[in-house]
Amino acid sequence: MPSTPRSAVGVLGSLVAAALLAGCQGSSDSGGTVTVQGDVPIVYAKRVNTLGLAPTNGTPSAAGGDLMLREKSSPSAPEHNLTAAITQGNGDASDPEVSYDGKKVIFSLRCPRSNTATVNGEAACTGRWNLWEYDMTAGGLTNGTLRRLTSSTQHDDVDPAYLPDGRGVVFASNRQAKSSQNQALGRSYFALDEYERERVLNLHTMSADGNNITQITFNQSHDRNPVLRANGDIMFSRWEHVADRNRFAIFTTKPDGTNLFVLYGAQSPGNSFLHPREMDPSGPYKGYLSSSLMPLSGSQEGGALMFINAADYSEQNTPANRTVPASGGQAQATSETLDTGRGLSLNGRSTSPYPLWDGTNRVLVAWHPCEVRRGTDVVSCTTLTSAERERLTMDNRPDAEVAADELQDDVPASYAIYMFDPVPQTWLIVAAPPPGFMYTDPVPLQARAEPNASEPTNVDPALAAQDLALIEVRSVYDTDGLRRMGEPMLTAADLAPGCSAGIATTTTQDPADTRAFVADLQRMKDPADPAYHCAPVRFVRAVRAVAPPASSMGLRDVIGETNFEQQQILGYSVVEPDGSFKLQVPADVPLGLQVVDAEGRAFQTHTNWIQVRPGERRTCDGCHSPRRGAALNSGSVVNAQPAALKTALTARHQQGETMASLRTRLEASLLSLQADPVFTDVWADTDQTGITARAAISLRYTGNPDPADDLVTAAPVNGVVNYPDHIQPLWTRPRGTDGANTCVSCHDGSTGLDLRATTAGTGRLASYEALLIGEPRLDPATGLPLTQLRMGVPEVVRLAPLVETSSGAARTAGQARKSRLMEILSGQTLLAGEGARADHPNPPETAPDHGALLNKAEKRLLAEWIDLGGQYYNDPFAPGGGLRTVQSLSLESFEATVYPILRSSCMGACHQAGVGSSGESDTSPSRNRLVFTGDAEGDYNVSLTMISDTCNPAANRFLQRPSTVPHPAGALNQATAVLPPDSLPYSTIVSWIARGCPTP
Amino acid sequence: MSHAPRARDTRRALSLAAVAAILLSSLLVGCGGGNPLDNPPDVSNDAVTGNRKLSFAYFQRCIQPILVAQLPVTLNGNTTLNSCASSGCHDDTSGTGGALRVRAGAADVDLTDAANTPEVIRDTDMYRNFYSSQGEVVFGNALASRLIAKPLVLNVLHGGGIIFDSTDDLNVRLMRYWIEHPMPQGQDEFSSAANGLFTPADAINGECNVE
Repeated sequence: MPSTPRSAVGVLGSLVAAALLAGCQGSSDSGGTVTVQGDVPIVYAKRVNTLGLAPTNGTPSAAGGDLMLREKSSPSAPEHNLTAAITQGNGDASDPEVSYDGKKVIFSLRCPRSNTATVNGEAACTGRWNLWEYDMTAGGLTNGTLRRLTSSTQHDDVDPAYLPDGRGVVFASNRQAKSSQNQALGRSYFALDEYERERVLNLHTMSADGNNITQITFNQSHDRNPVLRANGDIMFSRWEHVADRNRFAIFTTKPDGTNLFVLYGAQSPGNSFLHPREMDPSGPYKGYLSSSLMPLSGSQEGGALMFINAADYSEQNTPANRTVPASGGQAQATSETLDTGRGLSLNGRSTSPYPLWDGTNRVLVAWHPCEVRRGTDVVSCTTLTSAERERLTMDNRPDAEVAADELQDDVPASYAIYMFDPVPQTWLIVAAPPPGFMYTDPVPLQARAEPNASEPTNVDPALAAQDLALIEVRSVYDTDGLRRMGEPMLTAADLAPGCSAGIATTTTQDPADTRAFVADLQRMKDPADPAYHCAPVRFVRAVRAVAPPASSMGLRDVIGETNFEQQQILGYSVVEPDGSFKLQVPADVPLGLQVVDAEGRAFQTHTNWIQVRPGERRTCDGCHSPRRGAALNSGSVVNAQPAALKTALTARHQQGETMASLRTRLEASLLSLQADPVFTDVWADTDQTGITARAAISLRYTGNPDPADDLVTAAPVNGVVNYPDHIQPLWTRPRGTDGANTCVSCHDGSTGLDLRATTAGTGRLASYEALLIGEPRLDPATGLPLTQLRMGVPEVVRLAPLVETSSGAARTAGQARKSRLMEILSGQTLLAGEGARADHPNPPETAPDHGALLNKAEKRLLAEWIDLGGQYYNDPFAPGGGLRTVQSLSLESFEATVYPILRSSCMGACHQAGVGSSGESDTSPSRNRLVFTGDAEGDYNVSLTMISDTCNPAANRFLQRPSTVPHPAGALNQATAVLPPDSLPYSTIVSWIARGCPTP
Repeated sequence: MSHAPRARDTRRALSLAAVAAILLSSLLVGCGGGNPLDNPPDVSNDAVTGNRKLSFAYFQRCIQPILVAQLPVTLNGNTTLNSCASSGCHDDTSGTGGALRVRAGAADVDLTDAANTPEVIRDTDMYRNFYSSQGEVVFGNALASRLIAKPLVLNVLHGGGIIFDSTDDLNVRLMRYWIEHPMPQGQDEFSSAANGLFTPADAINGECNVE
C-alpha cells in the first residue's frame, strides 16, 4: 500500500507527549463502565537487532536472544531474563504466548548443544528450536519453573499457542510429521518452501505433555503465527506462493485441520499479513483483528499496525452483505502512516501487535523509529533533507548508486515495546532494548476468556481409512466480484454456435447478495434452454504439488525456466451442467483444482493450495465464490428439475442434491478421479422433441473413438509431464506427407523459433528455453537490446514468451489459455493478449494450418504441460534431471567461506524476495529463484539449487552467471563481472564446490 | 531500497527508541504496585468455557426435529422444501455439507430406560447427531455458532442458502436456547439439570423452553 511520507517527528512527538500527559496512567469512563488502564506484567523476546527477520524466514536465530519478563508494562518496572541460564548468551528465544489463566508462558527457544545447561537432568540444548514453558502457577512471576516440551535435534518447533480446555498446543514446525512421509509419487523427504530455501513450516498440534504430535496443515510454503480465535478456530498466516503469487494472508482452521479457509488478506492491498490476533470481543473492536502488514522481505518484519474488520469484510472493499458499507475492511490503526512496503518508512515500523482484552482496547506493540546511516553515524530520519528523503524513497535507483551513497537505509531495527491506545493515539514506552538488540513479541500476562473448545469434526471413517476425503463444489459458476469464473475469462472461441454468452446470467434477488448479477443455473441445467449448450466448463482437473526436496542440489536445472514448482496431475472429473462436481481426493496433500474447457485447458490457475483431512467432507459454493453468503446452487435452484432432463435421473433426485451429488450417489465410481477427460451427456432427454444432447468429448491419450486423435508419442505416467520426454517429441513427430508438416521441418533454427532437439549451453533442450524465454526486444534505431531498470536492477526487455509462466497475468487465467503457443496451435484467439500476438504473429498463409497440426490428445498434453507451469521436469528425481543428494557440502563450510561473499556481493536488490507490495509482485522468473533473505540455512539451500556438477565448479550457474558479463543481463555496459574469475572470492567458491567432487 | 542489516554495521548512536525510553523511564519511576498477576479490579475475565456440554435431552426433544423437518426455503420468490438432513446437504452418508452430519433416521433414545447408560447412548445415531451439532457450537456465543450462523447466513458461507429469515424464527430460538443453557461446569451432557430447560421442568414430558 503506498503511503504518504510524513515526518517521523509525528510519531515520536506523540510518544513523548502521550507519556507526559498520561503520567502513571489513570482511569477513564467508557460507556458507563469504569476501566482502569492498569499496568500489566508482560513477557517479550529480546533478540539481536541484526537478526534476519522476514515473513519468508520461519526460523531465524542468532546468539544473544532471551525471553524477558517485565513485572509491569512500565519502563521503570523490574525486568527479568527468564532464559539466561539456558541460553548462556549463545541461544535465542521467540514467540511467547500466555495461557488463558495468565499463569503460564509457552515459547520457543534455541540454544547450541555446547551449552552446559540441563533440564530434568538432561542437556537442555539440542541445537534446534524447541518449545518451552515457563510456569508461574506456584512460584509467581520471577520464581516460575521452566520445562522443555519438545526436544528435537533435527527439526524446529516455533510459534506455539495453547489450545483451550487443556487440549495441548498448536505450533509451527518443519517436522512435516506426515507430509515428509507422504510426498508425491510415493516418496519420503522433507520439503523446501516454494523459494526452495527453507524446510517448510506447517502447523502441528500436540498434547499438553508434548506427545501426539500431529501435522494439521499441508501448505507448500510456511504457515506461521497460529493463535486461537474465540470460536475455537486456529487463525494463522499462510504464505501463498504459487509462481508469482507471493504473499501472506490470514487463514483459519479447526484445531483438527478441517475446514481450512482464508479469512482475510488474499486480495487486499499490501503484501504480508503477519501476527493476526482477535481484538477484544467485548469492546468496540468486536470482530476486528489486529495484524502487522509488511513486505515479504527487507523490513525485518516491520510494517504497519492494521485493524481489520474481519466480521464484515472478507477483503478490502469486499463487504459480507449489502448492509455493510461497500468501502472498508482494513485501516492503519495509527494516525501517522507506517509504510507497508520496502524502503524508507519515515514514521518507523511496527511489528507483533498484541491487543489487550482488559476493557482498555490498548495494543502492546513493538516499534522502531526511522533511522538511517550517514557515513558511520546512525541518525534519525528527521535529520534528512527533503531531497535526501526523496532520494531514499526512490525504489528504482541503480544498485551501484545506492551502494555509493553516504546515506544508507540499513540500520538494524531496534524495536522497543510500546503500549498503544488507538483512541487518543497515545504511545507509552514500556521497554527499550539495550544497544544491539530488539524487543519484539510482547505478550501481557493477563488472563482472558478461554476460547471455545470445539470437538473434532465428524469424518467419514471409511474414507479416512483410505486417506481420502470428499470435495463437492456446488457450482463453478458461483463466482465473486472478481469473476474469476465468469465471462471475462472467456473469448469468442469459447462460444458454441448460437451462443452470445458462455454463462447465462440473471439478477439476484437475494437481498444480502453483493453481486449485481449471477449465473442463471436453472437455465444452464435445462437442456431445452440454449444456455445448456453454451456452458464453457467441462471438466475439473485435480493436481497436487510436488514439493522441492531438501538436501538436494541442482533442483533449478530440473524444474526449468518457470516460477512454478513441480506438479502432478491426479486426474479428471466431469463438471455437470449446473457447474457442480463431487469427487474423492487424497487427504493431507496440497491440492489444486482447475476447471478446464472442452480442449483440456484450464480457465484459471489455482494460485493456492487447498487441503482436506482424512475422511473430511467439504463443500465449496463455487470457484472463487464470495466468501460470505448463500450458495447459488441451493434452495429452489438446486431442487428444480427441468422437464428436458431424463426422468430416470430426476425421479431419483433428493432434496438439496446438485447434479453431481445425484449422479455420484447413483454411481459411486464417479467419485473417483479419472485418468482422462471424457464426457458423455447423460442428462438431456433426447427422446423429447427438440431436445439435443451436448456433443461427446474424448480427450484420452490413447483409445479415442478416432485413432487419429491419439498420441503416438510417449504418454505421461502417473500424471507427470516432463518436457524432454513428452513435449519435445511432439515437435519431432513426423507429420504430413513425407514429414512436410513436421514442426522441426520449418522450425529448424534457420530463422525464428528452433524446436529441434538440440542441447543448449545450460544442458537443457534448446527448444525448451526458446519457448519459455522471450527473445530480447531490440531497439529499432540501434538494433541493440532494450534495457530497463526494475527495482534498481538493469534487465533486458524481452518479447513475450510463447509459453506464459506468470500465474498472475491475465487475471490469473489458465497458463495454456494465456500462452501464445496455445493460441497458435489451437487456431484460436484466447487470452494471450495483443502484446504477445504482436510479438508472435500468426504463421504466414503459406504455412500449414497450425491449428490443425496437433491432434486432440496432443493438444491436451500440451495444455497440461503449460497449465502446470511449463516445467522442464515435474518429477524432481526424474532420471534425466540430474538431481543429487547433498552429503558433503555442509552448511557450516558454506557459512564460513561462501556466505560472506554472497552477503557482500549478491544481497542487493537483485536477489531479494518479493519486490513490490502486491501479491502478484514480480513476473520475472529469475526473481523467484535465487532469493537471498539473510537467513544462512535458507540461503545455503537455495544456492545448492544452482549447483549441479561439483567436479566442474565453473560450469554451475551459481558461478557461471556472476562471473560473466553482463550480469544482470541488462547491464550491457558492464565491463567487470560481479565475480571476476581471477578474483579471490571466485576461487573461494570454486574450492567450496570442488569439495563435493565426486560426492556432493 | 532497504538492505538487510549487516553484522558489520556499528551503531554510533542510541536508537531514538532507547533515548525515548530513558527519558520516559525517568518520568515514570514509581508507577505500578500490587500483585503483578492481578488484573485491575474492575476488569472482568470470563470464566473458562472449555469442557462444557450441552444437554442431550434437549437436543433429542427440541433440536433433532429441526434438523429433519421439511423447512420451506424461499429464493428468488420460489419456495422449496429442504431438510438439513437431506441427501444433498448434511446427510451423514451422501451429503457433503461440512462438519454437521445428520442421520435422519436416528431413533429416539428412551432416557427413562436404565439400560441406556451414557456409554450405550453414546453409541447411538441420535448421539452422533448430538455430537456433530454440538461441534458446531460456540459456547457462550450462540450467534457465532455455525449451527445458527450458517442457516441464517450471518456473514458466513452456507452451501444450503438462507434457511431462516431471522433470529426470531422459532427454530433459531430453540437452537439458541439450547446453546445458551449448557449443563453445569463439570457435569456431562446427561445431567439432570436438563430438566430445567423444559416447562414443566421435566426433560421427558415438558415443553421445550425457548426463553
